[in-house]
Amino acid sequence: MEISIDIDSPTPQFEQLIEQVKAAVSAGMLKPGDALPSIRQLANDLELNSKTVAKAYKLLERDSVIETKGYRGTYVHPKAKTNCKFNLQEWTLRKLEEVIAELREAGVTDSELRNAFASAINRHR
Amino acid sequence: MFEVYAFLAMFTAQIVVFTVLHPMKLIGRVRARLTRYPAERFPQLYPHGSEGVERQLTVHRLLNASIAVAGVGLLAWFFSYMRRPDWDDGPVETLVSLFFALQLIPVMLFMLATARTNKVLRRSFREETRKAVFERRSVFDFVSPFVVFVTLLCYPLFVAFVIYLEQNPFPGFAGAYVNIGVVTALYAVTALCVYASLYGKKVNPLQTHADRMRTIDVAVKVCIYSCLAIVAFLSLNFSLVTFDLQHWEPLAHSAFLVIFALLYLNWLESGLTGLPSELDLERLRSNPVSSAAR
Repeated sequence: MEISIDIDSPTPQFEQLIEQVKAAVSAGMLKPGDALPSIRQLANDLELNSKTVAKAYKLLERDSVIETKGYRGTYVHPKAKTNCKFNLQEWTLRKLEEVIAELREAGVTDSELRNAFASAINRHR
Repeated sequence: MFEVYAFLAMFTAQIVVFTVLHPMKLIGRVRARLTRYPAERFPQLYPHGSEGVERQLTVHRLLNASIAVAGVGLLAWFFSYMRRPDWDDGPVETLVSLFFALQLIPVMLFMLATARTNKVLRRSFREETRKAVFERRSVFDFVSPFVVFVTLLCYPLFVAFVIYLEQNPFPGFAGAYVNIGVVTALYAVTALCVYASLYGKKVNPLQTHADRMRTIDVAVKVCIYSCLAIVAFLSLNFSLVTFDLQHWEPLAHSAFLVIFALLYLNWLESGLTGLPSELDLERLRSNPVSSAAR
C-alpha cells in the first residue's frame, strides 16, 4: 500500500494521511492487527515533519482506528473498520446543533451563545 | 615461519581486495550506470557533467594505484624484516593498521563526492506529491532473531572474558574497563547505524523502493556482522597472547581486515555509497533539468 501526500494541497498533510489510512482500512487493504510504520520511518519516507505524522497517528488512535501497544509499536485496531465509518466531527456538529436549537427555543441570543460556549470551553480546559 | 608466510599472503590479499578489486568494482559500477543512463539523455543525473564523473574516477584510480605501490613496498619490507627472530617486537601490526587507514582514504573521498552529488539531486528532485510504501520495517525483516541474539550474547561473554583476563593481565592489555568501553561504544555505533539504515532518509531521491529495500538489507547485515567480527577479532587477539601465540597476531589482524573489506564490498554493491542500481525512471523523466542540477 502506498501513501501519497500532496504538499500543495489545501488539505492539511496530517488530514491527508488520516484519510488515506481510513480509506485503506475501509477497503480492507489494512486489516486489524496489521503493523503500522513508526512515526520516524513514515516522516522520513514522506519527507514530513515527525510532528505531522505524530498528530495524524494521535487522531487515528483517538478514533480507535489504530492502537499503540507500547514499545511494540502501532497496529490497526481490531474494530478499525467499524470505527472508520464514525465521523467524530460530524457527530460533534450534530450534537451542537441539537443543543443550539434547544437554547434558541428558550430565547438565548447568538452573542449569549458564543460567550457561554467560550466560557464552557475555558472551564473544561 | 609458516605464520609469517601466511601473514604475507594475507597482506597481499588485503592489498588486492581493497586497493585493486574494490576500485575496479566501483569504477565498473559507475561506468555501467553511465551506459545505462547516459549523460546526454539524463543530464539531470550528473550535476557536474560526465566530465566531472570521469575526473572523479581518474582521481580514484590514481590514488588507489599509488596506495597499491606503497602496499607492495611495505610487503617487500615485511618480507625482509620478518626474517629477523625478534620481528614480533617491531611495528608490524601498527603498520598493517596504518596501511588500512590509508586504503580507506580514496573510499572516503569517493563517498564524500557522492554525498555532495546526492545533495544536489535532492534539491532538484523536490516534488509536490511525496510517496511512501506504508509498511513497517524492523531489524528482523533483514536479520534473523538468532543472529541478533548471538550478537547481543557476545557482549556479556566478551565482558566476562576481559574481566577474567584482568586477573592475569599480559603486557599490552589495556585493562578490562577500557576494553568494555570500546566494545560498548562499538555496540552503540552499530545500533545507531542500524537505526539510521532502517528509518533514515532516502540517500538518493531517484532510488526505487525495491532497490532501497536491498540497500537497507545489506546495510543492516553489514553493521551486525561487522560488530560480531570485531568482537570475535578482539577475543581472538587476546586469546593468542594468552596462549603465547603472538606470532599469529599479524595474520589474524590482516585476515580480519580482509574480511572487513569483503563485507564492505557487499555494502558498496548494495549502493550505500549513494549509487542505486535501479532508478525511478518515471520521476527522472518527469523532472526537467533544473538550475540546481546544472
